[in-house]
Amino acid sequence: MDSMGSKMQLAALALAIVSSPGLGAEVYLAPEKFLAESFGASPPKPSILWIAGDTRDAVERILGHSAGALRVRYWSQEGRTAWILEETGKTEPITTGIVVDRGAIARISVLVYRESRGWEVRYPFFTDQFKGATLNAMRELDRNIDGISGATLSVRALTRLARVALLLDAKVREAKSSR
Amino acid sequence: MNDVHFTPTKEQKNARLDTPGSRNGMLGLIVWHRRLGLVTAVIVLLLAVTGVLLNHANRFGLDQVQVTANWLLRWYGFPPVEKPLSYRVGDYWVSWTGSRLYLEDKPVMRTNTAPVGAVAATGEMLSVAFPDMLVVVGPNSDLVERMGAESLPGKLERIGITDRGMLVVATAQGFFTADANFIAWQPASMQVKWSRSEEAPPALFERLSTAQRGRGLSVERLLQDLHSGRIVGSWGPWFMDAAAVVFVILAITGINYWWTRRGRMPVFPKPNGDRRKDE
Repeated sequence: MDSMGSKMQLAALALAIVSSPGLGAEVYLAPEKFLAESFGASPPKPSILWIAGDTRDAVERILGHSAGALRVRYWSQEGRTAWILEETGKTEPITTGIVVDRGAIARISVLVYRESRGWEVRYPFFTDQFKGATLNAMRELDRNIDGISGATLSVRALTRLARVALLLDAKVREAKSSR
Repeated sequence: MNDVHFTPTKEQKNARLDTPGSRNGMLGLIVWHRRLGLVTAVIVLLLAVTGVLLNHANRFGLDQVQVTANWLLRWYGFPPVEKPLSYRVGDYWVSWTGSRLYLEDKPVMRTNTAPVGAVAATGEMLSVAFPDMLVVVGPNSDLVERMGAESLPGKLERIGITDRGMLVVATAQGFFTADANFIAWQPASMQVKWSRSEEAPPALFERLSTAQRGRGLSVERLLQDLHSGRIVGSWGPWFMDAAAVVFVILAITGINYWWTRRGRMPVFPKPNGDRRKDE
């Protein structure tokens, strides 16, 4: 029985190691599920926003590096826009879903995490800080986001993504109001 | 009282050098001079050749020429370049190697996942399919868009093109085709020419290798390391320092020999037999 018990413990340990967020890509929430949770059973069809000109400059100022793809898709319904964006924490991209409701963040969720440490940013005690956040004139968040020890780079990455999502949402609303 | 100056004549000098003790000492010195000279000759040649080349490295363009010998690159610690997974798309090659996607030899994006195919369906844009991602690339290797699983009809197994130029993807749920912006996917049942990987041309492989290794190892750098001894590691410069000390010893013993034997026939010691008989 002892032998069986120790084998079970070893198997449990092995499972814990394999499923540890620190090893490889960890899908916390499938992007399709994120959209379904954000918009209900039938999410809207995606739209495309080109990241060019002033928008690209502004995105690159926030990120501190190239904006990457020339266009990004978003989902929009009744004043809410959802964005699935990626930003590197230390070495690997963090896939993040962000819902913006009339210029304020309604939800931010870590969808796929690939870094070896810093996965604590997925937890609501951290992500809830973004709820209601808006951009000020300097394109900074209107509030301070408390960091997490050992997850500084992931915290910064998520903060940058929140600012980018708010900026892109503003561009979408600008385009709609000018039509 | 006048000092008495004694100046030895040439014969007296030669007689003094011809004493058994001095002859043995001189002959020993000559033997060691020759041995050290022989041993260090290779290093002298190496230093001379590399020194001349380094002096004119810019003129010869040696700072631009890259070393391509894999064994040398491995010696320098350059990681081995993986053979790329390549797809021919019209006149272009899309390749994936070293966790990067390339259009020709220009990097497009980083991804740890291998593509399953690439086609040109929408104008000049190329579409590269991954199991959980579809990437649109511009002709200048610009990343136009990266669509995740949420924008796809399922896990992509293959990508192809119809006779009419329509893009089709194969998933476990069947074949699907999309509009130009991949907004809506529709089931499809048509003849498809699927994208298949091909071996990249050797010239492209070389360019991809260079792209992965950055500027790599120039011939000038190799010559510098050969000249300084650093090519063999941290102890190389110490070895070259020791060789330099030997060169100094050779110079001193050579000058000494020449000075003491000046005006006389050179002595060529033989390894055996009575050297006196040879004079």
